[in-house]
Amino acid sequence: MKLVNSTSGQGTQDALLELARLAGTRDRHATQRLVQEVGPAMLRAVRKVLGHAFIDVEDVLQEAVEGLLLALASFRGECTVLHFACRVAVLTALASRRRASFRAQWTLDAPDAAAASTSPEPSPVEGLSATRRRETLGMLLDELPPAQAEVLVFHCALGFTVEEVASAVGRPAETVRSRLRLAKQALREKIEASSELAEILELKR
Amino acid sequence: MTIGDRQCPDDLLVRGRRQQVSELERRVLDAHLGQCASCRAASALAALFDAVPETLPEDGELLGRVSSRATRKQPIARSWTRTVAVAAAVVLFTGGVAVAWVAVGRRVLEARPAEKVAMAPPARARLSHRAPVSSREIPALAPPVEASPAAPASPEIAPPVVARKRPEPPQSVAVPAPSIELQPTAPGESWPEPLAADRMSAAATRAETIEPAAPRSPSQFLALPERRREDSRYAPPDARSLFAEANAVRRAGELGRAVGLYQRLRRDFPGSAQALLASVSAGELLLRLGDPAGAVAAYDSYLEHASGGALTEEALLGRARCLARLGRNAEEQQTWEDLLHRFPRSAYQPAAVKRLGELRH
Repeated sequence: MKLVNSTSGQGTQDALLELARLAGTRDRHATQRLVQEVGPAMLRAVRKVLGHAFIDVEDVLQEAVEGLLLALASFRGECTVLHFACRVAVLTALASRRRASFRAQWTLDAPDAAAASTSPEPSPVEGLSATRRRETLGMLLDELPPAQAEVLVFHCALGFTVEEVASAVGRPAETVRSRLRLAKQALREKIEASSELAEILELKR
Repeated sequence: MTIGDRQCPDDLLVRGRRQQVSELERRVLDAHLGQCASCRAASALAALFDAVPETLPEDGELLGRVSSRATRKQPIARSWTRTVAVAAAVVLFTGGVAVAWVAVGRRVLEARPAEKVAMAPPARARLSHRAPVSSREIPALAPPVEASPAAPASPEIAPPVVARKRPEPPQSVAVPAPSIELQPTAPGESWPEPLAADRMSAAATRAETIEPAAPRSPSQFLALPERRREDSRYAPPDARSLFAEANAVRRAGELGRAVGLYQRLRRDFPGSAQALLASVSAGELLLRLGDPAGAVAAYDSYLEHASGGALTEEALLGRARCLARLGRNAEEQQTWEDLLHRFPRSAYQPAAVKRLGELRH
């Protein structure tokens, strides 16, 4: 497992900050270099939230990068540029997830991420299991309040500690801890209310 | 609420996943997980996230495309001046129209007083008795619709393509960055990039499943769906709306239909900016659908008609990939070299250099 480590951005913080300032003015070269620096982490965050088979990963990443470039103008350097970029990516992906989920309820031809999966599944049974897991993951995230879903993604998907999440989202650590507790509690209640969910998450009671 | 809810060792859980815990900490962690259902649930969720691969082989290319498009955006500093300019133009235009309206109306009334008097009483009479007003009764005001059945309806009343209503998605989620519209209307703005290689092949398979009769040859893609041609209410859309529809169809994964729409855009609106952009998109999709020869033709069309266009890099990249698929190595090498020569700082430079190295050995 490769988690996003907060220290990965510290060593190059100053360099990225200067780069971010230039990119905020749409300096072409700086923008290109910044995307090269933070793009992989943003892509990883988007993919964690959406799933690797989600058909619009590239579009969502593009949206996130554009959002980052726009937001850099007001970036005050309260966290590392890398964390800031990850936050933009996570929020963009969560918003995209919710939009896709909403569309899927109303349209017959909405893209089905599971059906578009490109990874060769070992067997139909395992494939079905993987599909159900992806659907479950999406459902759990969609049903959480956005602020809780955000910290849960940072903590569980990207492997941020509470202090790192607090730095990334610009909130006190206690607030993050509280949101995380509420998110986990909601998660537990959903699992306790559904034996199927417990089975899918391999948490048989 | 379980015992551990208020004192969950969240950071220990993270360090446990990073394999950065001592033996003692591991035992503490296991003991906590044994009694805290919330943390067990979170750990299970984390395991689901971990199942998603960190990187994929095509990530470099994907990031290159994203970077390329991002660097092509207009500087932000200009956006407010553009907004002010548009607002000023709207105000001036509205004012001009109002003045013209008053001036022309006054002139007409002064020139034709008899007609004004003749028209007024019947109209007032009809309204006062609430009689139905038909176009035959006041032909000068309402042209007869029945007289021209072949006249195209306005685009607003054209039948929707999808079977059910597609409502606007909610915008309640607080995203710090504003939502960016990824459907450009002119070259130089951002361009909805075709799908990545791995997703496209799967999406193509899915498109075939949904539409088993989907044509595979580029010439066949030109045919319009029968349902729409037979519909007398169908009105030909303009280039912009057709381009938006094609992009939406592509995003929905209906690649065959999207290619058909892009081809139709090129055929019906050959001089438009959207038709030029459609060439590149059609090329990308044709390549994914297994028609590299058709894709080369589409890319060549763009390179020929959009000299120095915003998507020249993408067109050259796509052309080189098509030629590689076709085994036309000499032309492929020339295309890569052309790409490097014209765009020495291109985001695709690493891929071009690598491929050229392979071709030369």
